[in-house]
Amino acid sequence: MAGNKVVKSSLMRRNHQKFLSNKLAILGLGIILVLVFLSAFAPLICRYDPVYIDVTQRLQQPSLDHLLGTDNVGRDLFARLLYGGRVSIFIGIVSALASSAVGIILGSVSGYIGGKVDSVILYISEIFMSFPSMILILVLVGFMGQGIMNLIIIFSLIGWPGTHRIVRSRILSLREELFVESCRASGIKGTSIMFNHLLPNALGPVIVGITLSTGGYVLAEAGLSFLGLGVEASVPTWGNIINAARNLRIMQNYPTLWIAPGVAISLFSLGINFLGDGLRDVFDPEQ
Amino acid sequence: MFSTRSSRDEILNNKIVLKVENLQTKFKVGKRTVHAVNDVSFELKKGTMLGIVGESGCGKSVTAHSIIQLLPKAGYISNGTVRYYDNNDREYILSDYDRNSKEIRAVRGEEIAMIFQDPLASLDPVYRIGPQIAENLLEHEKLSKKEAFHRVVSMLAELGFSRPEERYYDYPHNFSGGMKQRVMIAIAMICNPSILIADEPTTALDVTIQAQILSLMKKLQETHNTSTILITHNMGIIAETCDEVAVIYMGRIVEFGTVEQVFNTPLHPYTKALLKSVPVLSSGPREKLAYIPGATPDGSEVFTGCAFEARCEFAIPVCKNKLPVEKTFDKTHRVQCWLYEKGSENG
Repeated sequence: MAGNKVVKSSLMRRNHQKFLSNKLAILGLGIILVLVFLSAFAPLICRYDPVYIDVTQRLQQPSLDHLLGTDNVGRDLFARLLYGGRVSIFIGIVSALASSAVGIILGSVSGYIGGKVDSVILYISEIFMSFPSMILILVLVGFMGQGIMNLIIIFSLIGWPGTHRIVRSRILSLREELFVESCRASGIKGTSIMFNHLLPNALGPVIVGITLSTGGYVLAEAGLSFLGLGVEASVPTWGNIINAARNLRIMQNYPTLWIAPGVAISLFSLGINFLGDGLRDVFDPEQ
Repeated sequence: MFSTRSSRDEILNNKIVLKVENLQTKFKVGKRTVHAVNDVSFELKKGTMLGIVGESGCGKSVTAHSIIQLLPKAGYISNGTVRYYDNNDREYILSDYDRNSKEIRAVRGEEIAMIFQDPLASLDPVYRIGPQIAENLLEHEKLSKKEAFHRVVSMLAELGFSRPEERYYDYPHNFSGGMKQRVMIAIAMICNPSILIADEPTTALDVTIQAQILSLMKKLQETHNTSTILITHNMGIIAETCDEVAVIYMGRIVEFGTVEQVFNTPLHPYTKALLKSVPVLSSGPREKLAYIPGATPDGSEVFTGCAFEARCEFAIPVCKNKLPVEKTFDKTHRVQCWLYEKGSENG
């Protein structure tokens, strides 16, 4: 029986090739993979504890011992950078997934059910979108306090309207497709039509959105931590590392302390943007 | 080209599987009410094919969709009953169910299945066709994935797919229009329903594929003893495939009978006009094709008389003011027209 042999469809193969031929997207994917790999295996790569304070070793210039030098309390910068990447990338990815999950669920509900439910959800999303998000984040951080979890919750609370709009408008047009009618003629439940048939058809642009917003959340975390409103200063994140270098003397004399985390943040969001654009090209049927 | 039809007496003796009585379906469009189906009654007998024919917008599709309540939000059944009898003679009053209820969902797909006009848009583009066919099966029958796979593959083989095990894993875009319509038929027939409603199944296909699909449907109908309702505007298709035919105009069945009755002795002027406007190859080069003057009236118009009066060449004064009463000729030949007020058997 040839039943278990799953033949790759020509469309999938074409998308695959389209992605592989996009050099920038591959570069982006490469950058992200390298950064994620370095962060994930930080304990195996670094010799130093990122939070271990060694005052005798403070403000060392880069050397073989300390690859990127040490900061003003003697913590190894390379270790802090890799461990910081863990937290920053984690916050970025989880926030993007969580806010998209909220957006997908609300978007499917308002697109498929429509009517009053749709209007209510749409009004709420408009309120969120019409309010300057940075002020909202600052207020919420003030309420909930700092912390990784709090940051993720706040980001998903504020970030869902974008995904909601994409999913809702896709579902609204898909709902009228004939295959939905033919599912109903087969007696398929409304919820399974919604999640098994409508949602997978709407997912292309959402995947692009998730990718691009990961970069956005990494930047937002860095910005908030730099302002001292993100993650507690004791936890190394890319934003906190820059925050620690916020001192005129350090900025002038020890530039690696802020250039290194800055480069990490820029590389990551650059990679994300390349990757996101590549995915957008793949999912855009008009190209 | 198709196998011979069952004789009329045979049809008369067949068991009734679907009984539609005084069905009325309305649409609320803003403040207007559109009367899409008015007082339609017919019976469908086991193993036969009923053709519903009429112009665009005359209520053919709405009649069929009303049977399993597959109506848009604005549409609703305002009167009448639809009764379905399953193989164990259990009666289901379909028109009493809520349109999203479990009961009607159990009937849809399992007992009464439907094929749509546009096979190109009727399949979900992101799923392989095998699982799409199996979905209907798994919804209604308790089967393992593996059993479902084998049922689907044997269905595909029956429908003339070569290498069905491989085709199972193809996406809809890998198929041509005719093949997609076969996939749609597979979805409809996989649960072995007693009634198949085909809503203009061949309109989107070219003529040679049309013939293939129709003979396939006819074959399936005979092997599975399925009753079929075929909606079309093509008189030729009706003549070739159906046993009985209902001619619909403005949501009313103006003429009903066996195919022989309606085609050999058409009674209603509308039927006559429809039959005349079929293009024939043998017509001369300068001969104009006959057509019915005017267009179908707006559905929100309420007629006190016969809706066809304005376009009818035989119209008499009474047509405008009073609805014609149904007359029956030759046992099964029903017509709603004032021209036959006298001379019917039991009128």
